[in-house]
Amino acid sequence: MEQAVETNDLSLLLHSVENLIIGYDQADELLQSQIHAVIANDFEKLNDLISRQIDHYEELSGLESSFREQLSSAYQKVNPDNSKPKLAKLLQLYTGSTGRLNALRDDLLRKVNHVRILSLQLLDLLKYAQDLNVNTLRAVMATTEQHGVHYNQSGKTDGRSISNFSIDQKG
Amino acid sequence: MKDLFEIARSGLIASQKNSTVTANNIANADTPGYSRQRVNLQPVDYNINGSSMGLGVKAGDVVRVRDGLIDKQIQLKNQELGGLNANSRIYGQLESLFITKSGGDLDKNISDFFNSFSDLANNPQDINLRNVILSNSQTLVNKFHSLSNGLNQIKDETQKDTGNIINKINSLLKDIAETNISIAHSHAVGKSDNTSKDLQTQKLNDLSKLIDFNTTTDNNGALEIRIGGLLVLSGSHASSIKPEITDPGSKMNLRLDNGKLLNVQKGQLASEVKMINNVIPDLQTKLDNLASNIVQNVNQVHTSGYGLNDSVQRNFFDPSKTTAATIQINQDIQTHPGDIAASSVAGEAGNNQNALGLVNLRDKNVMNGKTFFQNALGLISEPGITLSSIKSEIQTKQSAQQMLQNQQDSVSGVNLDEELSKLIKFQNAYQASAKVMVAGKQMYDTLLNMI
Repeated sequence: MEQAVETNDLSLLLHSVENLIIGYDQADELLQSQIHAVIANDFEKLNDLISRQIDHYEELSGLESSFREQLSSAYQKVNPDNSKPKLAKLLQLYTGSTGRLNALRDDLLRKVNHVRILSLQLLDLLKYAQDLNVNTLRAVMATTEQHGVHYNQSGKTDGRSISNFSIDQKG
Repeated sequence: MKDLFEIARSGLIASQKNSTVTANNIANADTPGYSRQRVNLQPVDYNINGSSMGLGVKAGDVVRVRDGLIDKQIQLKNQELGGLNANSRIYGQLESLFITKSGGDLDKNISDFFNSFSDLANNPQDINLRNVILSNSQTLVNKFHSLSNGLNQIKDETQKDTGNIINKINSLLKDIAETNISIAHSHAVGKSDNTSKDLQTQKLNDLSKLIDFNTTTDNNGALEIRIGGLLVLSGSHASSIKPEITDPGSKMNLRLDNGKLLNVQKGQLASEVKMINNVIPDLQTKLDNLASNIVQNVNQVHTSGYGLNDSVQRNFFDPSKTTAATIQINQDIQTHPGDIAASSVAGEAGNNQNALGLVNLRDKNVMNGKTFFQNALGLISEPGITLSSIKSEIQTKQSAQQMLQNQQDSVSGVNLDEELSKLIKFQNAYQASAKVMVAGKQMYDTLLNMI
């Protein structure tokens, strides 16, 4: 027998969605920072951001689990046969006022989509950066077939040949 | 001797922000007691020959290898961005043409046109409703005309712009040819004309925004440029490009002054030529097909019915004018709204069967498996959808370009071991970041499915 979705269910969901919005705002900032770090070739910052990103995913994952549980619980009351709960459908089925939650849902949807696009852009940039690195490595290797000259303690050349080389990017 | 090394040292420091060790090593290469660290000491060879300037020249050799790589990458990005920016500008114009702020777009005009027949079906003898049909039909016809004119205007403006781009390219090729003369002259006397080389690099960067090309250096140190495999600049001689359109509506070709056809793939010029030859004509064809299908289908139903005044079966649209630029309402219908064929039987003024037949066209999949409305919606949305994707691509490529620029501006000279180590560290970080991004994408998709 179907039960009615209670106001309390919606209030819990509202809180969860608010938390997710905050979480995705932070995800947005982290991704923007990573893009800047890759562009700026800032290795230290990039490494730091990767760690923060992993931690943040765990937080987001927790928020998402909590949201899923609350949504499933509320959704079961109106549609027990459907195993794929969806907030939009729940709001359609709920007879009371859902204005605030509807607005938050729209906001969250927009933010998740934006973060998704940002992450794809970052992936593109990372792919490009990796390819560039590989090409640079190849170019360096090709150039260093000319071996350097080794100097002994008296500043005179000796017979040894060492493969090292100065790369100049400025010109 | 000390002064000469000092010159070399200071020169390197100026261009090598993060490699004081390297610069120091080079400056002290011939200093007794100094232990060489991890740097290329090739310059000492020049000292043995009595030429202390050799230090700089040797460093310059290396510089060229690295510069060539980064410059090439930047030029490739310039070509891509030049093309994308041109596409973005033209697709923006196309989007503004098809989608207006007022909302009175082709899809709505088509919808209003068929809906007015629905109103007539409810009251087939109402002369006012017949006038509404005429008014909506005229609005639809005017929309087809204005879109067709708009497409022609955008094509004309793009063609004019293409002429300007070609002039710029020809001018840049001449400038580069002039730098070649100076560079080759210096090369002949064993010197490097760095000022001309800098200028040449700048001109190449400018050129790369406009057109795609390949460069090689000849034995005299002068640059050779090939576009689409054809030699356009060699030594002091630069070919010029000319646009060629044989007659209106035909495709634009690019030809060198030696008569050979030029094939361009990237950059602003290639994008604009593609717009002129493909994108705009394709949109025009789709628009014409839509107008032609509406004329044919509406006429087919309309000629099977009768108006209020006689038993003559008439076309609703002029059947001889079937393109977006020419579509017209039949002159008889325009003058006598009573001739609109709502009835399926001659003389039965209250009969609405033919009007209903015309209404049914609204919901039929008569063209490409879709309704007229859906076809119009697809057509007018096309530039906007493409523009959105181009803008996203521009953002990504601009990031990559900025990254390259930073690389060029940052560390000018570093030790190979450090550089390799750094590259590998970066590669690992990039891979780690990419893995994290992929994991995140799954989470976003899951959440999107729940909300």
